[in-house]
Amino acid sequence: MTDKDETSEKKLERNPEWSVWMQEAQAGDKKSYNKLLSAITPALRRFVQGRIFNIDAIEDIVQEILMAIHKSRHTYRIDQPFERWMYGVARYKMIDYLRKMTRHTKKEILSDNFETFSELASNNNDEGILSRDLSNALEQLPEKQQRIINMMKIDGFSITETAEKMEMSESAVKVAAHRGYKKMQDWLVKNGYDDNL
Amino acid sequence: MVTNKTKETKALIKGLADNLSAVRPVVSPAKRMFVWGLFSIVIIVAIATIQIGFRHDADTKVNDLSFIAENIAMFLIGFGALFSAFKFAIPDINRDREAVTIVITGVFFWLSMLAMTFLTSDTTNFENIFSFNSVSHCITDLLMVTTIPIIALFALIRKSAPVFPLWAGYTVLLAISSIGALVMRYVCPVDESSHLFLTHFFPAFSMSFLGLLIGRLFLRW
Repeated sequence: MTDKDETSEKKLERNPEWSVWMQEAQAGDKKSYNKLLSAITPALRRFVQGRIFNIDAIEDIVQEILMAIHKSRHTYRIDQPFERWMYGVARYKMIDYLRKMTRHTKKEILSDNFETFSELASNNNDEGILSRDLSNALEQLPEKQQRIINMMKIDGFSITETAEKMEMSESAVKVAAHRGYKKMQDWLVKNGYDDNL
Repeated sequence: MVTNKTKETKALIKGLADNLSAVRPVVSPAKRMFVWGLFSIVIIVAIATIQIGFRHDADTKVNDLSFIAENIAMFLIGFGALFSAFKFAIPDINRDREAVTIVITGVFFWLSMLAMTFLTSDTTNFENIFSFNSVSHCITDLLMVTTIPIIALFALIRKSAPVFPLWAGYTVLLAISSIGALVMRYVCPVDESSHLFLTHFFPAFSMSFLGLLIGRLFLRW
């Protein structure tokens, strides 16, 4: 992306005050930093919620992201769009968290206790089993909801893009997706998964 | 709804803000490219001069147009890749298009140079090149002159916040191996295509792929 593109994108930022607060925080202004972190946290939470099923993990990931933002705050440059920078850190930390979790889960599965717990579906977190169960849960949904969830979670379309492709309003897509997740969650709980999945 | 975890998040925010210290924002990737590109060249040239020495006909070679063109290409690839590495060192939601384009162009130029030297090579000569010790030293010389800048740049990139560590690792190695291969042309007196292909260009280009592995192992934060 060229500097010109970045400057014009910067002008279109939804929260221009964030980049000002960040600049003040880089200079050591604690008040601005507190304001900034408090203001971005709900946005980060929404960002993570849209991508992670596990409700318990969401706040952990948000905290990891906040710490990463703190650690890398020197890499933000005022001529850069703040939100791109922030979501860049968020995306990286979210993937990192999931990678660690997957590794952890695999270790657990490979441990001696595997056979003891393998009968409970909630403990069968092996990727293949989980993905098969998720597919089964998805199949319980009406076709339209299946398509919306597939587009958003598998093909990586945004809400706006999904809404355009489905010829629906953005809010209708959000509601349909939300209901779909709920139904999937209920189905998974019925089939032995924890209800805090 | 306020849960224990959201309370923890609030406490974390307060803690981070209370312990805030001023930081100096990183300078632009272009400035970093100039400074660190220059640093790399100085180090590589210094090691090459002290440990190996320059080719006896360097003054006449600089009048050779194809030699100059090749040098310019390697210089641009080296500095372009370094610019991309510094772009990848700054968080962004997507890979920077400009940086990706530079990398792809650099790889394309490298492949063109490899193809050109390979096609003009006497392939029957390949075996002799490897058995001739003094010539195959070019590979070890290349590794020797590039090691310090590679370590320095990886340490520098790691201190930033690369969110695409594989790309950052690859571009660092692409940059330094290109600059190293450029300097090696002023060290090694052999201009034969088969030699250039086997002991300069191919090792330098292959070396850049090590960056993917190093990036994966050392640039995560």
